[in-house]
Amino acid sequence: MVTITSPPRPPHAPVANPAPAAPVARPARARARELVQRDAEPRRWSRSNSPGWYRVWAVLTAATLAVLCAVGSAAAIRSAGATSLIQTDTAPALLGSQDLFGSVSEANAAATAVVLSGAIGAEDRSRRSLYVQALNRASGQTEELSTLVGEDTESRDALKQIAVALTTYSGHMEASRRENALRGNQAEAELRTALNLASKDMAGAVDTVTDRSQDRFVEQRQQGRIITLVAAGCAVVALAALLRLQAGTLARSNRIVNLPMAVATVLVAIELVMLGYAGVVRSTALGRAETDGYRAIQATALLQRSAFELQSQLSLDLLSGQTETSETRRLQLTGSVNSNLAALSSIADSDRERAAITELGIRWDRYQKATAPLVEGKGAATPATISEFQSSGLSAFNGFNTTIESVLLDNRSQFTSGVDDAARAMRWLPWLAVIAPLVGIVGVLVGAQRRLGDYK
Amino acid sequence: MTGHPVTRRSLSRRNFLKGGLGLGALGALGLTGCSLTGAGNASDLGGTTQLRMLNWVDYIDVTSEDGSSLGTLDRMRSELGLQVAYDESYTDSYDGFQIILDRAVNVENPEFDLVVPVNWRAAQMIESDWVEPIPLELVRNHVNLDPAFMTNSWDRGSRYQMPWQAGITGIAYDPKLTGRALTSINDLFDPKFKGRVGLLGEMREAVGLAMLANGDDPSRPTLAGAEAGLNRVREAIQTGQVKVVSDDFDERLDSGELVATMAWSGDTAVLQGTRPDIEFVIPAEGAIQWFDAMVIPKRAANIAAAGRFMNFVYDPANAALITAYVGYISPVLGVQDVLRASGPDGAALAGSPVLFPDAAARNRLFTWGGLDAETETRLDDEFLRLVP
Repeated sequence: MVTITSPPRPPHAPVANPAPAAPVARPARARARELVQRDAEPRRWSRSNSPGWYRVWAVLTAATLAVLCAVGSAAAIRSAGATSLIQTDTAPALLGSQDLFGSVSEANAAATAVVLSGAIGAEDRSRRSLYVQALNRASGQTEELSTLVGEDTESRDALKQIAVALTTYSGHMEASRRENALRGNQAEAELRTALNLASKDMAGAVDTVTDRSQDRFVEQRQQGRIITLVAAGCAVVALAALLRLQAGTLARSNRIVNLPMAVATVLVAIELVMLGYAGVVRSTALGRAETDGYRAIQATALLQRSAFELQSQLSLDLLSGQTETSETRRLQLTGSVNSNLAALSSIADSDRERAAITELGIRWDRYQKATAPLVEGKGAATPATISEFQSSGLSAFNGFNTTIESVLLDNRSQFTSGVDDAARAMRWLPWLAVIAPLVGIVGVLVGAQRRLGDYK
Repeated sequence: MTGHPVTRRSLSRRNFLKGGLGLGALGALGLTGCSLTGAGNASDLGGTTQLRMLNWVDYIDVTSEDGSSLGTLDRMRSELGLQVAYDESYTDSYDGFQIILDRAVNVENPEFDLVVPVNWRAAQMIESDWVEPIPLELVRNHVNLDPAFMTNSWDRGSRYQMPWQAGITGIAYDPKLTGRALTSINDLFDPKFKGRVGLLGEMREAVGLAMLANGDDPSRPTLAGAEAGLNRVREAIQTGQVKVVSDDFDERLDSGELVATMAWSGDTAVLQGTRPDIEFVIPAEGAIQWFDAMVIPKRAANIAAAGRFMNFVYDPANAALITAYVGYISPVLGVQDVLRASGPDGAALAGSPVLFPDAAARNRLFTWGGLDAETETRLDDEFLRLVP
């Protein structure tokens, strides 16, 4: 119950107006309704008068900014974190697994050539050195990869398998070499066991690591997309609220600019633009890394793998004679190299890259010309044929293989530069996503307080 | 700066080649290597017509004194319009390398667009990110690079350097003074020759040969192996068995001051022009192979011109003229064919086992494999303390 009392009139106060007629007594219910209405009136009045309007809109706008701060920073941290993971772990793992392919294949090709040379006399020292280097590289790359795949159980298991297989593989290779030196009859069998180990167990495990890295790459590319859209939506709402607040201020006070609110509006607008810009740059740069860099890396790695396998197959055929199966396999591998060369040529997007691929093509032709006469005979090669193969065929192969590596390095640069661009675009976003709304909140509250101060 | 053109003492062995070789070379093009003249895009690669190059002395063919045959630099000017300011003051891999550091590396605007350090110095420059990549789009003749030079672990595929010439560090001797054929590195330590044996003041070559003599592999050196090699060198120097020599070893051998010496194949080939009785051998244990590499310093002003230079000297016809003049192993495929087709004199050079080692000889050539940087620096320091 509200009790309203009139203050007592002073005894000598002048009467400005004639005293109203004494009110007619009203029913109690009507009086109560009137009292309730009067009680409610001040609240209705507070929404429509200026100070109240400022309070309500300032609180509402600050709330949207707080939401923007939470959602925006979560989006930025998620996107930037995923990009950073791509940059530090996933991309190196992708490249590392392709390198591992290359190293194991090169070890195969070199070791086969070593055994081949040992079969006719002193083993080829430089080829042996290439084998040792390739094996050491494969070992180092396996260790490095295990630091890059994180907690991915499948990849870790595959890498453990590779590490074990590498030891067994080198054991067989050494046994083959020893047998060769002693002119034993197990040299070729040991060699074939090692090659099988490489082409089945190791290649399968490397495939697993590559597939898992590719999955992670796709996953991390997608990360933060939805929440970034939500954050952009929040930024639009916050911006609308800020503009409404500014418009209201303009209408009520005729002041064109409320500086703190204007600063808040600009900051939120910047955040909105940056969310969009960083998202687009990230997506474009990672897309470019994938199309210009990674696909070329894959094509190059496939080309390299086919070429190495072809080289190993050729060495085996020279050792023990060709079979129909081995001839078919060689033709398949040659076709694979040719088609990957064509694919690389179509992907090339710079003069430098095109020049490198032209060189690759010429060196591939040289290798084919150098080895063509060697595979014409169906039986095992003679020492003279092997010697010819050692001097011209392997030399041409070296030129081809190292040129592939050169092309691979160029593609790696494109890939890493795309990933770096993406990471760079995200660098400041988490900070901006936190700072802009917080400063915005302060701006809104200070701006509203100033207007309220004007009323006082 | 010496400036262009370069002239040097005339060598009869070379002069007779110059006339016929150019013509023969044209016919022999494409036998093994090929010449690609695609211009490519030179944008963002700086100037194309001016080149400043630093190289070792007497390391490029020159215009003959009567002007009847043009040296590489003159042909380059007339055929490509490329002017080369050619400086041949690069003397060695230690003090000489300081020139590269002072004038091409540690400066904002390098004074050279192309420098030619030895392979292990080139490796250091590449690993330190002091060089520009080769502008492959302008060096289409990169395809003529011999694959034997493309497998270096520090620059697989030769993307940052292109070999200029390669050499063998083996043994040169005067059979009249030794009284017998020398076939082993251990012959250099024979007390009978005490004080009359030369040892080159390059750590990797001297220690490398000593390692081979000890049965170690300098292409895959271990610390223990390298130290054992260094100890052997130290003992030989301190007991007076050997004298430390530099690029004057040929003169000392010619004068009879030395009866035998560690020697560079190319300089020995030049000496053999006037002293055909001097022998050069790849010892039974093996010899050290090295090469000098063209690298473009970072921020060089005329990268495109450097690319055009490389492309020109990797044309087998041009490379053959340089080979015939300097007597070192060419890294360019097709040179042997060009020489063979150029006439009897060229054919003689093409048959030289030192210029064109066969597979068996190549199997006995070892390129220093390198240790970690700290160990190499320590070995260098210890070695240099032995050198007077």
